[in-house]
Amino acid sequence: MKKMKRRHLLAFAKISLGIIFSIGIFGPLLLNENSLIPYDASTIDVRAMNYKAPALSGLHLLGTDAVGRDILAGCVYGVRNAFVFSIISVSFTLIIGLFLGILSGFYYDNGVKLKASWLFSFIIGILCFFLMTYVSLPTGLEIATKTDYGLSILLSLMVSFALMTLSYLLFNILLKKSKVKVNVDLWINRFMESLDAIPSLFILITTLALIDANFILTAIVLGALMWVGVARICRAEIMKIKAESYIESAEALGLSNFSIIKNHILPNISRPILIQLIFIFSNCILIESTLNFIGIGTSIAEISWGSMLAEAGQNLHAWWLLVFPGIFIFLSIYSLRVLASELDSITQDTPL
Amino acid sequence: MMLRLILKRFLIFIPSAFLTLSLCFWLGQDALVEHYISNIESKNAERSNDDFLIQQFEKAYHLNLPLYYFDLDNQNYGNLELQGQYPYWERVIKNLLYKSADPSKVTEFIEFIHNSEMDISTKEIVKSLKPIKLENNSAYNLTNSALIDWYNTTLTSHQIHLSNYLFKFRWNGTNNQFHRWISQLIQGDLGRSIHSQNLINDKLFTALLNTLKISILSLILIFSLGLSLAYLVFKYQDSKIAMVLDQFMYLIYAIPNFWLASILILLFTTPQFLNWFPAFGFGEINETSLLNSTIETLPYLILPTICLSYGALAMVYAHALDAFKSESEKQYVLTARSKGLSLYQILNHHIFKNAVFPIISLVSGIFLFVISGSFIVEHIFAIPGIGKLTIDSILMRDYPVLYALILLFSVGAFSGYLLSDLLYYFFDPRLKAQK
Repeated sequence: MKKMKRRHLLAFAKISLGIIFSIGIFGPLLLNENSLIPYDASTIDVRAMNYKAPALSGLHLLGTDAVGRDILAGCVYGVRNAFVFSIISVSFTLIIGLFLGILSGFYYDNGVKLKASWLFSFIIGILCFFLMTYVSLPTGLEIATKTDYGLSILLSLMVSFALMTLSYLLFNILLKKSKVKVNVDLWINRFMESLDAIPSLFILITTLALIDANFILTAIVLGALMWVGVARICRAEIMKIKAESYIESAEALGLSNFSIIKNHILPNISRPILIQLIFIFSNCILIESTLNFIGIGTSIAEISWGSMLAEAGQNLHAWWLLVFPGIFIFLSIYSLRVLASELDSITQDTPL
Repeated sequence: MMLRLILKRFLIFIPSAFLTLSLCFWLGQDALVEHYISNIESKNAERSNDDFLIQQFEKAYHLNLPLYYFDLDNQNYGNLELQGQYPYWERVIKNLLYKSADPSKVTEFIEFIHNSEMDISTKEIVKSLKPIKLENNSAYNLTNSALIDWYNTTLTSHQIHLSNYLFKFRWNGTNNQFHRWISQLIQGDLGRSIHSQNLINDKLFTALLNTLKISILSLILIFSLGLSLAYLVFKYQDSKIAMVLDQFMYLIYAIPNFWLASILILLFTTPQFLNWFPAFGFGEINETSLLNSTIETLPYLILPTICLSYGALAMVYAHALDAFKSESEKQYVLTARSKGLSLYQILNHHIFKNAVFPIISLVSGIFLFVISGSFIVEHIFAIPGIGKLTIDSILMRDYPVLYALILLFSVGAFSGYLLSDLLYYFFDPRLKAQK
């Protein structure tokens, strides 16, 4: 009897991920109206309505749902849905989490030293921009989609920029280049704790209920909720790295903070952050399916894994609606997590 | 020391709860007014009931008052000519256009708006709809490009006056919707829901009881089963069963809970396969006392408990195993071993006590896990608990219930953190000695 070793599991995970990725990229090319299996995700086949079972003889290899849409096509097009959503969320998570994590990790002892005039003028500029675009022009949340709106954003940008430079000059004269220490670490920590306190699924569902969100906006909001993990790991790793002697010698040589971050810190934290991002990617796929299951989520195509599972919940005799999308979700999440944990154990095993 | 902990947590909790509540209130009341307007528009049958309905609605929700303690608005708010866009009128005009497909009616309506003295409150908006009859059976004429062109050219003004870029700050004092709602909340009255005019207090209380039945069962299951499995796997580390169980736990963590719920329903409740458990809801409750009713509904509770707890079980198991392994590599275990203690004795007496700390830090996380898992599980199994109440109120846009639920969840999260702090204080003698 073969013992399943760890590298067999890793190989299985990699192969299944490769298969799913290639299905996502090449599947829609094969599943057009013109080619071998002539069913799109949204073609309604009138001959096969009302939950036909999967049949290898006919063309519907995995069965159909109530309206006549093909399940195989739905699974294939659902890969695109889940992965595009997760890629957008993960990129926003990366941007926000990396920035805040590096900020709080690198400057954790003393805080950021800024020119006071720059800080105040920056605050004034941002306040002015947000007040002008979101308070003055639209009233309430109904932001008009009229032709002049882009022009008005541009106008408010220019006005806020002008106000920023004016106030910078003014504060320079008043405060005479005094520096200010902003203790970012404390505030970012508090922010992370407060975001951690409420379950992210709940925040997501309520914000989707209160703001009418489309696909990209949902992905962005999810990215804005999941950055805490990335920022935490970033901060912990940077605090470990900063105690090393090569950073000290780089500072002694006169390298600026930016080049130290770029050349020394970022390559060293890239591996833990990549592991965390793969884990967050799998969570995003899960949350996307959950939202579509409840009925609140939006999708690129009309059909998604979660919506197929929701239909299956009502009609349990149609087991093919339940099993096949579920296998896809499970395989993608499981292989991503196996990949993340294997990378994790690789980094832990090698001595520094 | 303990009192200081509790006080500190409480002092941080109150402003953050205030902030979240005001944010939700701001977003929700806007959407509530829009929803209300569109509902009143669609009820075009009898106009005589409208005054009474409006009065009742406004009494309950105080919609004629300003929204918050201060108002940050456009300079020309309320002045339609200068502002150049109609805040709520746009929706009304669009709906009127699509429903009647008749531009003359819309021009009549706009003249009516301009001629009467307008105050932007819902009472005036609804009263203004009275003289115009909406046609019952007119379809949404969205593909009529001529109408859309007419709408775009005549109704929207392309010039934005420069005074629109200024803003006005108005202090409202305590005469606003938010203050009224918060003062009612502090006195214990959560309001009435829009959908059914029941008191939210009763609704929340019964739903919370029903959810607690499942949550407490699943919490007991998670911690007892997770810790005991980690203990067993650590003790019999090199056997085959331990490796299989390890991989099985890891596999379980990746299954989405709605999928598992549907599969369990398919397997255990339909007559196709096995018919062991009933599927949905709670069934008939004949006993009155809490314990007896819980025991009676126990077959209904088993499947939801499994669906809620398997993910957190895997998490607790993994963390506990990790904690045991890292503890067993420390120096004092080597000392104890060299003194002659068996592994069993070391496990019980030393490692278990020291490994509790990573698990306590998981407690708040697991509270949140159980809460957010209960949304989906209760939705599928149709259990009338907090999760189902949340999703129903979101789908039906029932905002007062949503505010109460947000408050409940933040209180729940806060109590989870408080519980983990207290457990730390209880288990770690170093914290007690810090006095």
